[in-house]
Amino acid sequence: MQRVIIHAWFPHLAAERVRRPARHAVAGSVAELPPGAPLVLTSAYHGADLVDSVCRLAARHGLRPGMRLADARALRPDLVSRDSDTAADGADLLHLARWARRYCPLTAPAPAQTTGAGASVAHDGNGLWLDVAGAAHLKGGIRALLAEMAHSLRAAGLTVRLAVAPTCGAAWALARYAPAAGRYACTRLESPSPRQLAGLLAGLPLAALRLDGTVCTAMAAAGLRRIGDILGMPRAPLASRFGQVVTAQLDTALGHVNESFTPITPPRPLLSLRSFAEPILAPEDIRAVIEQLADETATILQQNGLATRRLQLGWQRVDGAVLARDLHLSRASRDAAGFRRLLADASESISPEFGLERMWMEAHDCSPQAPVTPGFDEGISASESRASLIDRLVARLGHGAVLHMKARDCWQPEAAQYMAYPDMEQAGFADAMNAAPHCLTAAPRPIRLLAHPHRLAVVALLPDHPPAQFVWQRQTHRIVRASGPERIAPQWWNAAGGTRTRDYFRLQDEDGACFWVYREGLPERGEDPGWFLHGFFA
Amino acid sequence: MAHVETGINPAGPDVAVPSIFQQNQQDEYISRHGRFDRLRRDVATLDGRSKVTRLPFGVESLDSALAGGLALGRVHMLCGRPGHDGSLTGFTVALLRRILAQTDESAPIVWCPAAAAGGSGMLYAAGLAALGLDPGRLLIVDSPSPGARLAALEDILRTEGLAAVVVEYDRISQSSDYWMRLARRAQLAAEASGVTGLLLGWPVTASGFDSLWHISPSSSVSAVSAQPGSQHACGHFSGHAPWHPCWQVDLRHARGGRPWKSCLSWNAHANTLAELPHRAVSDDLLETPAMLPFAQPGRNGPRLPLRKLRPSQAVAHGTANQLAG
Repeated sequence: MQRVIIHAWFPHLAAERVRRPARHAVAGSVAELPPGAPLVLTSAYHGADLVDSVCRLAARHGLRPGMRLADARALRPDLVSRDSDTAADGADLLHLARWARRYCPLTAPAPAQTTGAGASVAHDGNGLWLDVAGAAHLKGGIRALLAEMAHSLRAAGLTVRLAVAPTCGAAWALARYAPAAGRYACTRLESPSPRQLAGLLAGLPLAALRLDGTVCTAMAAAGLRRIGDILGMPRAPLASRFGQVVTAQLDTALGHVNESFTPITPPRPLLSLRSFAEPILAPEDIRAVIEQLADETATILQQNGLATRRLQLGWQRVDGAVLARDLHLSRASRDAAGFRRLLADASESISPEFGLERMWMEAHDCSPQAPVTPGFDEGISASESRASLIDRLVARLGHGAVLHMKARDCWQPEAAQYMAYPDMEQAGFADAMNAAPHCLTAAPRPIRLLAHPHRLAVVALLPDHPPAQFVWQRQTHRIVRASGPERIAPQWWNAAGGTRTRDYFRLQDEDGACFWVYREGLPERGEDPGWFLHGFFA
Repeated sequence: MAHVETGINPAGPDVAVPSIFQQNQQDEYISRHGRFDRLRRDVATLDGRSKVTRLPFGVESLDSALAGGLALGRVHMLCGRPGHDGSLTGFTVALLRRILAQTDESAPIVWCPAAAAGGSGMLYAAGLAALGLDPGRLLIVDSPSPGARLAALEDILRTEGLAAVVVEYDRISQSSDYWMRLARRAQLAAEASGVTGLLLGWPVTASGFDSLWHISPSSSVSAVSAQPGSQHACGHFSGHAPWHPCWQVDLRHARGGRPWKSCLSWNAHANTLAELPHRAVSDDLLETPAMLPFAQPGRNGPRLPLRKLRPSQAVAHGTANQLAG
């Protein structure tokens, strides 16, 4: 059976990505691009800025990939240039290749390649391979498939040229150089022979054979410009004069030599699924299914040498509602017993209503993990039991319930510490807390700090004496001992308006309780001082 | 059943069998009460419950009251009135320091503190570090509901490889039956893993825990280190008079021990506890004029509106008070 190759060519892919507002774009970053100006993307190549990709408008004004940026500026002084990002282009193409798997199972990206040197640098632009042999009828035939594909891609804001041919080389050539009638010509032919193919390609320039720019220049000097010019020529002199590559490319384009592409293999979802003949309702049944799913997921992970950081338990009710629940793990795991423990109370959170039709479990955020020898490596170490404790607590109390104290380099007491989710794999328990700057101060710090300081009614001498007594929660505390003040000024570079300088005192009342109290506002500056309780000492 | 009475081991001669199965003739004379005692002891041995590691406080009278020290791998309850959170937390830190000195390097402490927005405030890392407790070893379990924290207690206690577990239960009010059940379950979990549990909160009527403590601040702080003259520190830190934490510790109940009540002072630097005579010296200090340069005459004496107080007036007022005092 003959192959049916579709080549999709995106002449302006990179520029269109820059033009397109990103999904999470900050307003202004895209608005910088003036809409009416031609856009080119450049990269440094042998010491000069070369144009890699141009937008549609720039192409209409005669700007071409492969030009020097200086030449392009001479043509259009108002053009806008940006650095090109090959990695992002590749990611876009891969995304498109995954998308194209809706038409056929064999798709692959064809990334742009820069060939040649000096004045004859050539860019072939970004493309996509599809082999739709045996799959086109699912969309109602090859013509309907092409129409739908072109429509979808244009709706996404992409300029695209599609071509169909029985060989990769011919599809590539037609997509880039043929008029619309030629690009779709093969859809009318039942199974085009090499002869018919040669007729289609004859009018195209030699560059359509994916030849190097230098070879094309040399052939043009010899008066050979079109593929038709070399079709009838003897092959041996052609190969000896311009290189084997000319005849080889001609053979692959015409189908005398087979050429194929390597299709992408999408990541297989790590999924275990149970579909029930009869909807299940009883909590025991649900629990049993969850346990089976947990075991199966762990087995799949074990077989693939992977460990997961996030499990998703999904279920579908009889009424069609699809619900899911995520379980985050503090470290990558594939421990079936651990999964079971985490999911122990999951069955209560599922309300089956009229019954569940199917349940499944997916493993996300997987990373490779060395296999475990049963009976030898399986002993639970202390750190593993701690990690599983964190998981259980997070499953029980919610995401973000288990935290570590972290220090911040800041003198404001309330900003000097923050809570962070513990990442046991990276940092371990012995944190860098000791090296934190707060240890540098010899000034007293309380053991408990009030999140919101309480305003106090205080009797104190001005300007800077500690209080003699204060009233807190309707109790009068007489002060028998005091130390301070420690002056902490607000961070003027980022303090909110109205934050004032504080003088902190450590006070002890008659009962022996120790408080951390501060006066806000400097009387010598004419500010109205206020007293606040901020913490407790041991 | 003749072979049992003659002392022949029913399981064979080579198998060691606990003494409950070995009844020899002497048992005939042991009373029923004594036999139950022995049975309990044997069951405890089988359960592995008999060997309690006790952590001495270094205070002789307290250690003897606790029958050797604080039982590790058990659950203890520490209570303090609202407003005394600093003292309660401080005493807990002192206990944890002693426990950490016994356990391995990397074992973390799980601390389930009260809601940060509440009146007792949140744990403050710098203050903990100043008392010698590495905040990096704390694993904070942040849940606003005290009920949820207590429900997680048993699960946490079952985990091996922890140094200790601290759960604050705020002002939750539960029946004594609830506390009893919680205590039994928590004790069993703690015994299985060897992790010491500490429950912190306001005083409740609870039984079943290994020990029950009431902690309040003590005013005899000055007696430890400082001379009266060095107390007054205004405008600079009183670096020479260390603020050693001082608590009035009331051991209400201890399994295998007896109640005890006194004042303890903790030197965080050396991690040593010392017993103090309660309020013996502090009353003297209160009388010392140098201690109270700005004190008001009475507890509920007239309060001066601060903003109307000019320095010259205030000094005059303070001096007058001192003279009057």
